[in-house]
Amino acid sequence: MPLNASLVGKEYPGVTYEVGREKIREFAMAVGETGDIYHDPDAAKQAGYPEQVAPLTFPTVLHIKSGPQVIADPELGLNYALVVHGTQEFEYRRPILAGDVLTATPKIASIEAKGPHEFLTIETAMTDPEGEVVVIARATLISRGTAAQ
Amino acid sequence: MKAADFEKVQVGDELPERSNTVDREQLVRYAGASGDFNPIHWNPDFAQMVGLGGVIAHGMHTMALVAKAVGDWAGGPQNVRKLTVQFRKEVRPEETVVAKGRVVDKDEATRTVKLELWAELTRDGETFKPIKNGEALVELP
Repeated sequence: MPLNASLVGKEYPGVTYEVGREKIREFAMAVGETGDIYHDPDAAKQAGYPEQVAPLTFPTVLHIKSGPQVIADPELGLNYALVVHGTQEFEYRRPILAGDVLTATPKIASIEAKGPHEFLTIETAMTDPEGEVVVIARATLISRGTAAQ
Repeated sequence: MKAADFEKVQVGDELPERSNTVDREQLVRYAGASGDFNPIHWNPDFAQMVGLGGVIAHGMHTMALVAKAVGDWAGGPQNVRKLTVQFRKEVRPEETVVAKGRVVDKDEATRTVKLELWAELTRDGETFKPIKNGEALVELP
């Protein structure tokens, strides 16, 4: 069954996440980022950052909390067993810092058929409490074999 | 972390490689740290059952190594404007992934450098690219 392409543009409720120092350390450790700006707030401040810094792929932590509501949207008709992660993009306006409170708001950016597969792009804006965008994440999921023939 | 010197950067320059030999513990750690508990990344029985022949690494775990190569070269995450990768092949425990990149464009006006990125691994004597067609935009100080 093809995905419901009429949902392109649909926005889902934002999920708010508070970025903690220990979470950044845990994530940095898990991805082999041993630089002290990711582990020690004082070292980060000495290096010119306002606070301990999150590694570049940290927005995935927010993604994993905000994404399931899209993937499981019954109107979309996505069978997760057929899905592979095709592309991931992050657009950064500034680094994520410890103490940030970010709201991740996903929307369906596009649904395109290419051959037998469909490409679903979920765009998630991550904003601070003033509404300023910090990161925009775009994940393209490949729904294998679901395109209309 | 010292940023690459914009004046000296040339199209064709290669980034210092970053390599990592994946093991099961890393994948369990990454599952916990990221919140991605898909059992294909940590449960061998489940991964077998769905036809993967064993657990495979999170694509985002491999992307993180590519991101490290970019961030280190850029002098820190504050100089990275954009990072994109395509996931093309699975990575398995005990395999060594090497993240690579090269400069493909340089814009004097915005002090922005465009990088091409990929990751490689060797399996049964053959080289595969688990990440292909990656791209980053870096604005150097």
